[in-house]
Amino acid sequence: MRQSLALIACTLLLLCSFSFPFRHGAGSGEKYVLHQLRFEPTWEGVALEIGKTYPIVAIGDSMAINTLRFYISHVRLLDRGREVFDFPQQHFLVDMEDPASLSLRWECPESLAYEQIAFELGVDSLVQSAGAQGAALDPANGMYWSWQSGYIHVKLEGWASSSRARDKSFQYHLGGFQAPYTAITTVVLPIAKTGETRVRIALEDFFSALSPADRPEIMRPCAEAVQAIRIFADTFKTQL
Amino acid sequence: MKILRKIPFFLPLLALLPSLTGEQPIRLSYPSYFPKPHYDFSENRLSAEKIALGRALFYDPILSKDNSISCASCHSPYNAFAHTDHALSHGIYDSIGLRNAPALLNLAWQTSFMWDGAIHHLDMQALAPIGSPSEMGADFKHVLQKLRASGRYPAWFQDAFGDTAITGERFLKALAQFQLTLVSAGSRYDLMRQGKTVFLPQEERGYQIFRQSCNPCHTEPLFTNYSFSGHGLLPDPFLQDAGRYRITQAPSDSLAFKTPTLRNLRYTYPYMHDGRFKTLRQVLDQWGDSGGAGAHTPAVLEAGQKADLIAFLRTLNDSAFVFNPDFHFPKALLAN
Repeated sequence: MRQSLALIACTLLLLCSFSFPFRHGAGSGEKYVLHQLRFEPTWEGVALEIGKTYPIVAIGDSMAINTLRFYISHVRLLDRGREVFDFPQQHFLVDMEDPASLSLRWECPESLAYEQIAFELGVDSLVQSAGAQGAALDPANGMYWSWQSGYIHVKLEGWASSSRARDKSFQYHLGGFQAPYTAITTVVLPIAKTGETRVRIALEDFFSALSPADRPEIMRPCAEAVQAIRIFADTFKTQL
Repeated sequence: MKILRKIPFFLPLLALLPSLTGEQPIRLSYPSYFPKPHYDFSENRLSAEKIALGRALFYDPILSKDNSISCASCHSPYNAFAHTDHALSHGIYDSIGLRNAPALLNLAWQTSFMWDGAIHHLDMQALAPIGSPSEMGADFKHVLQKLRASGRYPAWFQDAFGDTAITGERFLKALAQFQLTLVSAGSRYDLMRQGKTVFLPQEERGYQIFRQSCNPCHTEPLFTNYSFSGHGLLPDPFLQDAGRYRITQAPSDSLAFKTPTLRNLRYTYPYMHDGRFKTLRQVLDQWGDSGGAGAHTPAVLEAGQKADLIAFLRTLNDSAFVFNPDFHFPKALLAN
């Protein structure tokens, strides 16, 4: 009985697929449903615009975001906490300036039950310890530290009137994959079974917890980077 | 344009294997008394074409922001790929770096790179000098763009990888491949290990001193165990270099640097991470008189013992490696 259930589970996993570029189990006759998850960086509920200055009335500050890029990896679907599908592409580079990168799309058999999506925010230590890699993980993407080995999990750059930096900039290059500064963080979000799930990235929440006035730069693996990436992970909110 | 047609390719340390793909696969050859390499060749299989491409990249100043500095500028083949007579590395616009450029040899066995171990994989090492403002000062993405527009590299990448795409991954793997071939195992010490010669009495006495006092850190046959240690030297007040502490922020790593290999010391002076000593005698005077202030230091050495030890260290010089034409500037590729 257990073997039969395992066989059914494996079959369902194989039937799941991304609409691009993956396609497993095609032609099985099973009815597929398309799902899309879309990341939406926002500022107080409105779509964030790169380079636009936003006021922070409560503290008399204003700021603009010029770069928002982050890795997600080990994306999987969960049913009551149990993993039912592991996405075949291991790492995705989400870049606010590349609209296509903001969406994840996949197809799954209608019979597959799941209610949550989980992923790691960052690049895991196994990949970090390997040699040169391509596609999303190509160091030419500007998400790899050159002075010290390691991918930058999250890159958030911009300008703030309160910043203590010479040019009023802030730069958060959040990384670290070795103890004690392992910054990779798990994100688990509720997800709709069909259609589109919008995941808002509420950046005003990030800056209410970490002020450029106090800390305009985090550029290395350290306790502050670990804390900052957790703050960033908490800004992800599903809009069902 | 076939990259190998333009370059006389002769690697006595490498064994050619049959190929079904047209690519010429290579297996790294090394003495039986060397340990298994640390580098995982299954993720970057050596080929003659990729090595030739990596060699061109190594010697091409196109890697720097102003096309003035190549890897070989600070890692000269005639100096066992170190920067003889320069205490600190040099970069674009006459800038001076923080540390002495280390020798590049037997890198397939090396577990981490840079004096502080900041880089943990040979593939990724080149990103550090390319991006450093005091070395090549370049943006890696821009370097790839220059290679794409160069007129010759697309064909060389095609020879090496099957198509003309120039990606960061391919660049780094090809550059690593050339460096992996830099095996130094032709010294008098190696001949002794292979039973092809015997040490002179002074060399033998020095060898015994070495085994007793130096081998724990400068472990045979690579003459380093790649660990990090403080060596009792006071930090340079201008450089303020905290060593591995910069990477780990662990107090125990303060002023700790990676143990360098002792192979080819004749060619790699000055010594230490900041090049403060010009001669081996100066190094041994620091170590041998006081026993050193660090945790892993040898016993006090008499003057005669220092002479014996230096006689042994000279047996680690490998002129066959230093003057191997296969490792030198690829004139046929880059001379125009």
